[in-house]
Amino acid sequence: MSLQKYILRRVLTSIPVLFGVSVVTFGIMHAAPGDVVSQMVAANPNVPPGESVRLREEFGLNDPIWVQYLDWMQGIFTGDFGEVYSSSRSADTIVMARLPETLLLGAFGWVFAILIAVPGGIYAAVNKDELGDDVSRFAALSGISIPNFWLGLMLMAIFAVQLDLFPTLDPQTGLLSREMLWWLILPGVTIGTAASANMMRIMRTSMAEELNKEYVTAARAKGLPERTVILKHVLRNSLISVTTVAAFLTASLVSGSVVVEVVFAWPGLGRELVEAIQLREINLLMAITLLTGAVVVLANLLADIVYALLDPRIRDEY
Amino acid sequence: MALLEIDNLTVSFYTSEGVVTAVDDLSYTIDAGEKFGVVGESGAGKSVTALSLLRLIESPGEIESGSIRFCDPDTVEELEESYPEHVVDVGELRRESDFANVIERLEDRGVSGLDVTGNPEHETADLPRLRADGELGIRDVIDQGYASELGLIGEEDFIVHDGDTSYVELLRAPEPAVRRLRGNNIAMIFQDAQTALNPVYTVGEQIAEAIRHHLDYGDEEAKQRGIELLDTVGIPDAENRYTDYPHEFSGGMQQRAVIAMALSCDPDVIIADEPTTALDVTTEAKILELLEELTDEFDTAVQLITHDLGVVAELCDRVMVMYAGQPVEKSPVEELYYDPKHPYTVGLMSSIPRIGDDRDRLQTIPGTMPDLIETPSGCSFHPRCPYAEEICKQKEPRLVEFDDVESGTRSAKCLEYTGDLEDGIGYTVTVEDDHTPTEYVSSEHHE
Repeated sequence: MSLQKYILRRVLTSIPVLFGVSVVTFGIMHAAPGDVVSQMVAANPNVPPGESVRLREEFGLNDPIWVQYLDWMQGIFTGDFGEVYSSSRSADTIVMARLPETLLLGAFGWVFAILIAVPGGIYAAVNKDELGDDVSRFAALSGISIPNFWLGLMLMAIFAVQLDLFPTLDPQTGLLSREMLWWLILPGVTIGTAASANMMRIMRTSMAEELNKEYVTAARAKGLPERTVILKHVLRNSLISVTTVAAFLTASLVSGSVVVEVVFAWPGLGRELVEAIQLREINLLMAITLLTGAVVVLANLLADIVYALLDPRIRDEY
Repeated sequence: MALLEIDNLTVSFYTSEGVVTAVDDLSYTIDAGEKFGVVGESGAGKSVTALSLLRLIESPGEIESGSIRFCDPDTVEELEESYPEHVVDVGELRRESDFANVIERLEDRGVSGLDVTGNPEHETADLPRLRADGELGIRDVIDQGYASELGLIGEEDFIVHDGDTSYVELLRAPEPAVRRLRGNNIAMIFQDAQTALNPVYTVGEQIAEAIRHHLDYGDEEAKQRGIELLDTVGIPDAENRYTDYPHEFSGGMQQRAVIAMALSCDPDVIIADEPTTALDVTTEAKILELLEELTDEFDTAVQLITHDLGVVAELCDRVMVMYAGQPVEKSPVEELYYDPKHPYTVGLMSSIPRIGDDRDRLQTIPGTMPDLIETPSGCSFHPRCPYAEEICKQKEPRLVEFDDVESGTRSAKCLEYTGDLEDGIGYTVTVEDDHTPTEYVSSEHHE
């Protein structure tokens, strides 16, 4: 009962956060210099002088900012993210077409990160200050320091070009086809590496800390095998702080996807975002930013729920 | 043979500041069903001793030497079935090995009589002499760990058979064998129940997991037994509280749950490490009562670790007073209170607050426990001892046994009892009964 109440509460508190994200997104975009009209005029010198005034009027760019915001929000509630002026498509068609690709990439990177980080962190903590720990520390440090565009290029050069194990180009066979998933591996690994390294350090630290607690000695004193002590008693307690970081890293996965998508020519939102910035396509930009904001909020919501599942004390606070 | 025999146990911690000898050459025994108290200030090595019995000393700590023998016939038999290749038959060794040669090799290694018999009076004795007197046999060589060094037995031979007696040497046993004893035969009650319970699992689960593991119970049976245990330790509405998490329990209830956990597999001995320090006085009394009741009921031996001589008086049969990793006095409880032999024991006793006491300040023992990296020369208690003389700084006392007391042996580690002190130790023990002081024993002694 208290768990359901807790989740409901978390979901409700996410709503004002999302609203805040939309205000901030809108405000930042409008504070940036230049708009789509000046961009269009600059690209095309033959536009007559009066035309830009007329276009601004037509796009509603002369209205007060709060009117523009309300117009925009009204559109969002009806599923209309506004026009993309430089092409005939609307922002929502582009977003909807590209979103699954980016979600797939992000999810793969995230799962990859967790699959490496959790066992790696456990291993490092259990073998603290031994060779295995040093190796993992070195690996983590490298993972954090290597820029992902470089890692992406290297992986592509070695595994796709030299060894010819992976395709270099979009096989264009549909999202969940075997070819597409195979192609997904390199960009997915690239995007997950840094996140994995971060999470692994947190996992190690938090597990090493938990291992010093008395309940661990108590569990051993019961005669439980070391495996049970680690994987049942210590792991669940250690995962609490990893959950925080995992949620937090969603944001970095999203921003990392921009670079990785460009490097691998992955047909996702990141590439669209780069184009939208270049063309000052404010509606598309805001749609993408709002969406990524929503993803981060959702990730934090999930983290809150996972906390409550892991730790009964958190559930009971509400 | 006693249920548990600890001989010459030494435990050190290798810290960056130096080697801390937390337990130094400690020996004692606990009989089946006996309540044995271990008393001393913080840092006396009480908890380290407890964890050593379960072989749970963690790095940087290490059990350096000694012997921990566990002798419960059924358990030894079970282990024998699982580890037939690690059994030593002492009778056979006696017949087949050349003991005179063994003694020679021991002498070559510079092993003293004390090392191999554990008796302080044998410190300077000659090994062949001890053998001739029947004080030294091959069992001693095995017990003190020299047999595997000399190649008489394998390094992992931990089950020892000698005629009708058989025991398990914990310090040579492989880890899985030790795990079978932990919780099952030797259980532990921790100081602070709140930290000893895992916050993310239900109390019931933490009791049931040991039952499932050691007794091979199914989920439902283990749960039933868990609920019964919670009921036994006095948790009301046990069936519902079984699924509660530790934070939903009060401090006293948490400690009760930890006791239930220790009792869950019906162990032969429970090590209770200051089980009531985290509790208020009323709850403390109740918990101690419960512990006494249940261990009597299940005929479980208890090693009760505490700094509180009052608690010992309530619960224990025999007591060992520890100072700086060493025993300074061992005694049956009654004798200890009427006639304490060691100045440290006297100090501990005079620091117990009493009702009707008109002193405005509580008496304390001046100073603190010494740094265990560099223990004071001679008697380690001499810097704090009101009766210390010059000789105490130089000569380390040995445990002297007193045979004149009828109810069991006593011993104390003070130079007074080897006749080395000039002025003796002078203190008076007053036994107060219904607030009418009667002088009972005077240890005043002047030579």
